[in-house]
Amino acid sequence: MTAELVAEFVKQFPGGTKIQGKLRQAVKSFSLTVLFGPSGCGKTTVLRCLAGLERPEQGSIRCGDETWLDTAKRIFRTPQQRGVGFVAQVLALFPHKTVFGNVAYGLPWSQRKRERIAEMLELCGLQGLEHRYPHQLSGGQQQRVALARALVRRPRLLLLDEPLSALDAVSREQLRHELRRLLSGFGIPVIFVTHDRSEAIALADQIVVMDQGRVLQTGSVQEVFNRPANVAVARLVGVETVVLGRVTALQDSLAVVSVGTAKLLVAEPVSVGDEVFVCIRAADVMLQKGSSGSASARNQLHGCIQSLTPEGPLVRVRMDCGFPLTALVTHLACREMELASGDAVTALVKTPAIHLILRS
Amino acid sequence: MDWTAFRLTLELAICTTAILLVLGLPLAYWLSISRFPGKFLIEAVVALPLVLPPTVLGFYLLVGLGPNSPLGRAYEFLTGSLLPFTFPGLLVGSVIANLPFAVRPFAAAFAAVDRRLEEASWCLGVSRLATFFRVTLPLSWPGVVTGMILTFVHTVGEFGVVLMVGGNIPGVTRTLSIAIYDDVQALDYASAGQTALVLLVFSFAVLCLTYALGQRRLPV
Repeated sequence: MTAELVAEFVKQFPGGTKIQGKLRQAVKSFSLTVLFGPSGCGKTTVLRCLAGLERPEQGSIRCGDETWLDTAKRIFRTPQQRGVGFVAQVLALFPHKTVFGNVAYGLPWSQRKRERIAEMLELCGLQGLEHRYPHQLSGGQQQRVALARALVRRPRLLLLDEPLSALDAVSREQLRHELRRLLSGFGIPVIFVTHDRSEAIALADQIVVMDQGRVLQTGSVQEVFNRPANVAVARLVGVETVVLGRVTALQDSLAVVSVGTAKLLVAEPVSVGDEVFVCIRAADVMLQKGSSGSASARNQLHGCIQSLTPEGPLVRVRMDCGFPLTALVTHLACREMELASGDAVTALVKTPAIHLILRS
Repeated sequence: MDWTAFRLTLELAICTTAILLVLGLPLAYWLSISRFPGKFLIEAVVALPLVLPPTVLGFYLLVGLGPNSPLGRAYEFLTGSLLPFTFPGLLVGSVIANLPFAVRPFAAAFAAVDRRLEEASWCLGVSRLATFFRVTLPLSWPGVVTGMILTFVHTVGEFGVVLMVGGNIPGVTRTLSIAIYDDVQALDYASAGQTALVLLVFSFAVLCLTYALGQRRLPV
């Protein structure tokens, strides 16, 4: 049996707010779980419960063969007893201590070896800053000091609460990759809270999607983003097109789904008469000018462009193809096809790119 | 100038400040973090000496510490002497009268420390007590020093409580402020004026120090 962190608990706040936490993660080696959800959905509370800073009213947390929390047996381990690394969103560096003092802070005197701290500072790219105070550092440097301070103790689990949220967009993207590389070197499991979709995709091995204090879905990035379990998850992970349809026939092991005035071929196990939500990611929609399709995609939808919205390097194209459909195309493609509002286009969608959620 | 009274006053102020530092820090820290619903009661009791006339406070202390009270009897049983009109009795009265001058600045300073810094420390494996000494106290020391200075100065200048509990026994309970009162009663204005000037200069210097400290802000 592999050692695992198994947590399932409910934290109740005065005023009736209820936060449910539920997750499972191997703890012997590096793997990164992202707690993903909108602001205020309870991600931070779940993290604080894991750290021992909040005491859930109900449930249990086990890490390997240690019990951190068991409300039935009245077991509660304090943060000091859990040996986890916790980096809060505010970082909470000690303002009266230097970088060196901050990093050395959590080490017992017997382990306070200059080399050990120097090594950690170097790993985190902080050499030369030992004698600076936190207010003399940039946001990215403060970030790394907070990480170094938690990692130098070799925790058995690292908890990070939106660690990149205080940074500007450019350094955020840069640090994201550095962060994963740095963390993987320590061989410890990481639980990472974020509301940023691209951060979640770039970092996660496993995603736990939360909304309104509840865990909605847990799985790999692929699973959660391409096969959301319900409409709420589909909306949270940013599936652009979510429309209601009905399965009208089965043909060649494909389902025919009527959506608005259009018909779609979908490769999912459903039965005739089922009411389903059709999920299509904008990135999976190809566009052709005019109404004559020649590509291999099984679904060729004729429609007309309603709006074009530039979004970074891409253009978001909203169309009416018998139902509202959204596509993302590059600026270049948009210019070459001379797309404009009101134009007739053909949208191409391959059958595996369409995901169905049964309406319950 | 009555040097015996001067030494006695200094002794009383130092002892009061030391005792309130030991008792006041935990009480103030508890007040600053507790969510106990009955906290307001404790806060009100701590602040009471601020608003009570010193004679009222002194009267209750006199009664409460006297030979007919349980506390007075217990003290008499243990030490063989009485509390009122002795230095220990004066000290007890002084500690209680000065409670708000120590605890309120302490508590305000602790409340201004970001709780998340303490949480970060706990998560780094450092006990709550060690966190208090390594994080909370270093970040709130200006407030703690202010509380200690206020206590010290206020003890030096205390009159009503001292007179009620301690009386006016030279070398035992006769402090500077009472010496001035005595001198004036005896129409010895020269001696009273001298002592008064010393107290005035001392108090002013200390308040200057306190406010100068208050201006100092830690770089955050």
